[in-house]
Amino acid sequence: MTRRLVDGWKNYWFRPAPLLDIAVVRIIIVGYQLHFLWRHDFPGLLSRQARLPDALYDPLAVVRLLVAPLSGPVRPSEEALLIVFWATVALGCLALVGLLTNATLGFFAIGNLFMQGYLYSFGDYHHGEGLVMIALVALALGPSGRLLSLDSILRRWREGPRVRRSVSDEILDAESEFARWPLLLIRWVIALAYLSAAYLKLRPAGLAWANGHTLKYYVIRDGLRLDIDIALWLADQHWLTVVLSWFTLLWEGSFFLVLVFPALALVYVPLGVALHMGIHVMMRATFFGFLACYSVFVPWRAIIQRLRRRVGESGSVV
Amino acid sequence: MTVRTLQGIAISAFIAFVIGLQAMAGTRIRGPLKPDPDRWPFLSYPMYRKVHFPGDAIPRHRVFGILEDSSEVHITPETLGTNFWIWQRRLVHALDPVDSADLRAMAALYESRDGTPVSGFRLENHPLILSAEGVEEGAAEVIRTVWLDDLVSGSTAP
Repeated sequence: MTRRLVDGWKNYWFRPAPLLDIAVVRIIIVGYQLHFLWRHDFPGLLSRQARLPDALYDPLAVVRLLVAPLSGPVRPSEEALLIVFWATVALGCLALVGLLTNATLGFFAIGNLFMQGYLYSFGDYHHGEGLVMIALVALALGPSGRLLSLDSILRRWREGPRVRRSVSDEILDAESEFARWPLLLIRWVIALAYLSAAYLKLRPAGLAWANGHTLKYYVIRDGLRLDIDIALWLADQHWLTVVLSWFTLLWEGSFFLVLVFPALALVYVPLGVALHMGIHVMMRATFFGFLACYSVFVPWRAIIQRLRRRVGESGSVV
Repeated sequence: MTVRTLQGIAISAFIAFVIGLQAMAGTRIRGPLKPDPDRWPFLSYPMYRKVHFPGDAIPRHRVFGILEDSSEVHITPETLGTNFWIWQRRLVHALDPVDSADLRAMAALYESRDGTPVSGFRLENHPLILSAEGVEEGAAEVIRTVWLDDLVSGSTAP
């Protein structure tokens, strides 16, 4: 029995998988996070928070953990925060191009955990960024720099003429037993997050959440505060708020099925993109990090192989 | 035991740790840990979870600072140089119920930016009432007035 469980676990998490898939996901998620740091003006945000009174500073566990070896319980200075920002950006650029990938990606993840955790240590926190942090750590622990990286170019250069195979063949054929688990783990965290959202909506009053008035309440509240005209229009369409409420509950509550039946991602992922874009437009609640992490559901190698075959076939016809 | 086996065991422990922590956070099982957001990036996802019906009030809070000369100033997130969420969670919520430490910190923040000391705060609500047709204006109310000097003895003037 134990043996079967162990074999099942190994087969699920450590079955050989394409290195191309994890490499593409690395580029997408690291690229997204670098863009996120720039788009949200992190130097400005960190400086602004650094000037808030000490009495408002209540560091999260992850910040206490990361700061403890350096300065104990002392609050980091504005200068220290800005140094961390620039070091993190530099490491992120290296992780993006794949130089010393595991190390640079690991420190990039730590830098982001620290900065975002610091910003959230003043009573203001949001839900869009946590998943990306977990994803960065998982990718840093996997073979995400074995392909599409400077590391792979340097490795081929060191191996010299002994390497007979073409680069494209290597990219498409290379597999590793450690290339699958980071992508699966990110899928699991996404599914658990949606399950939590559905569970916590249903727990207080069951299906009454989908009465349409609940969604209308939040749409009006956020629409008025943020001056969103289309949200106020939506609030007037009661039937639509009822339909969208049911859709949200069903979609969030059943998203975990993609873990059991991966082909369902073809349905759930596009619907998820539509849902998050709708929430962004109506309520300015941004979950673009989730959309970047949806890249773990895309079979990148299979798509490229299919495209390559199609191009080859059309080439032979010509 | 080979290096690959050890690597597999370490990764398996990491996988179990991440899934376990996210499952606990998502269902709000605390265990030995503090609630959200202390275990961030592992969080529950309770956004927009409370059920609402026609007749419910959508709060719209306004905070006024009372200066030493009894004049008043409307305190917004911009006044404090911060964002809506810190304004709401550390000032509005600190006025109902009263959180002395946060109110003193907010008064110090206002003074550091404006150069004028604050003697007290007043929290008002100008709600909208949800109806089947849309919303209508509700009756405005003063929720609480708090004098910073009174916070020493822990008392507040409603």
